[in-house]
Amino acid sequence: MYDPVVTLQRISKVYFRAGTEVSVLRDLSFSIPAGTFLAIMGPSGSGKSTLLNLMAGIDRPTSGVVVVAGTRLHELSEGDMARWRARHIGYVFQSYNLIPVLTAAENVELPLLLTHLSRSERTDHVKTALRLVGLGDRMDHYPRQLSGGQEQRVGLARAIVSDPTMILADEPTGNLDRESAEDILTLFGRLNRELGKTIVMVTHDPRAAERAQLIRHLEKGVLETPP
Amino acid sequence: MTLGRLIFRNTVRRPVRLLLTIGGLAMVVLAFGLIRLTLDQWQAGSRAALKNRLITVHAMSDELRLPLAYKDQLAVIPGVRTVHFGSVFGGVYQDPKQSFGSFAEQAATFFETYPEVVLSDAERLAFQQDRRGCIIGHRLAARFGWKVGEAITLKGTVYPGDWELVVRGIFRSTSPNVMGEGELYLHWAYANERLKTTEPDRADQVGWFVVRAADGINGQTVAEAIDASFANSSAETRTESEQAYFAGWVARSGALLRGLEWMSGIINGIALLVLVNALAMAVRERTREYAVIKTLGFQPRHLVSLVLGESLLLALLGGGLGLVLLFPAAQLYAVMTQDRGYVSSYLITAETIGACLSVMLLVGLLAAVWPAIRLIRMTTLEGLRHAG
Repeated sequence: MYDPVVTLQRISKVYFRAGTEVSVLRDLSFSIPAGTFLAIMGPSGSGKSTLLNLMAGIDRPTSGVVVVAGTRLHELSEGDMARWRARHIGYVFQSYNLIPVLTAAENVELPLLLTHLSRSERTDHVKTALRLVGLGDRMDHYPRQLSGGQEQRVGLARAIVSDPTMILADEPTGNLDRESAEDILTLFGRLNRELGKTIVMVTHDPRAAERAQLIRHLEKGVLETPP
Repeated sequence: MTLGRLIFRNTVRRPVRLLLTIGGLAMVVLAFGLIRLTLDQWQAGSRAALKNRLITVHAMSDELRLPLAYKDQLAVIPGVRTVHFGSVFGGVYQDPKQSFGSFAEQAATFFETYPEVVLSDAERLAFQQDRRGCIIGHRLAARFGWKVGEAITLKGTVYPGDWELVVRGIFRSTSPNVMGEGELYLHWAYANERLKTTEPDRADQVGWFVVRAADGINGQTVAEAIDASFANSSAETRTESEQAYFAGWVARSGALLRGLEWMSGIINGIALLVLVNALAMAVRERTREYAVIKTLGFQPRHLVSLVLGESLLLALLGGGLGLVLLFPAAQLYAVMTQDRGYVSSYLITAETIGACLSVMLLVGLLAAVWPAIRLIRMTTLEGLRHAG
């Protein structure tokens, strides 16, 4: 168990767009205790997705130190970063990002191909994950045969199937109707409460954020100080 | 679920594009295969020829004839075991388009000279005892439906007039590139006999002598002795091993062969472009998916495997289809060229199949290079932001 799971020290992120320097995150420091369900809110362009990507190891800070699950991410190579992600991160995308030529079960099984599990063990894990998200009867369905809510639940099953240290979700309800969004948020709550998963969710929806234990606001690259 | 299954599903994801790509590659392999068959056919005679079989022709040109009287002079040259001779007959069956290789040969020495001919003893004897007899390759027999014992009438082009022959044997050849199975052999004596009355000036002449050197005797020495014997005569000779004779014939067609070799290269280049284009489109469309796969923890080498696997699968599918089509196409090609009287058959050897598959494997490997480099260079974040 890593506690805190995430530690960010004086993180800055600067992009160059059309020759202009754009500062997305500014001298940002905070930590996330293990078992937390945290929502990061903020308007578009506030840097919340960038912050999530830094924690996921799919982006690197311009300066500062990112320590997630006990690993200093900025010291890892691309290959090592990928290996680290496979062990520690379950990522849920706003637009689901399922592989269209694979069934729900095959999509969920994909991260397990990087483990040493046998085929039958992988199948057991996949069934468990899909049942957990309520799609035990949709295993052989292709993404095009599923509703948006169901696709996102498959995406969530894919994120948890390898039992990662933390789940990162980028606007997970952004493309869903209210009812489907509720289902997903309920699942996040269960994963956090019942399985003790650390969840960091980026959202601009206050109703979604309310389901988290903690809410932090990001404004122009600066995290608000909690009261 | 394996990465192999993902490769297969990706490959068949767009059926129309798949069919067009495979079809394009198949056509390329077909064209490449036919060119290879043509080149093989040209070079096969040289490869299959016997080293100790010498061919003596007129020094000025293969088209000119030599006096039959040379036969006895050849026989006494040291190192000569047997002397055989023959001429192009130029027979046509019914229609000028139905020409085929036909040769007038000395029957007595024919089978000893050409051990490649596979025929029963009874058929050999029947041929040698019947001056009007002929033997035909089994492909020629199949082409016209001729049977043993059947009387056929050919129209002679080199030996003018109508020629009534009786099929005395249908042979197979252990070396079809030397003794073609689509050819006919008749008695030179029978053809010459008629010529004595119709065109006496052309009688008692032969197109070539085939000399077999005695065992342990250097063929080159014998060839030099033969040519020296006829030096400064009215018909000087050029003698070389059968292998060298065929090789020289190929060499004289060098420019054409080099052209065909170049054509092969260009065709393979087209295959490469077809495949690179298909792969580049596919990879561009799936950039986001590859980025998602990277996000899940897969490494660049996994992505390279996916692209390389798809490229090789496409190349092998196209190559396989092309090879399947090559068999009927080669038969059709053979029929077309037979009608012009040039060749008897095209044999698709393991070498040809190997060459086609090797080329497609190489094309598959090379085609994956650029898309793979793009994926390796792509950061996960760039891929996820890709709108395609």
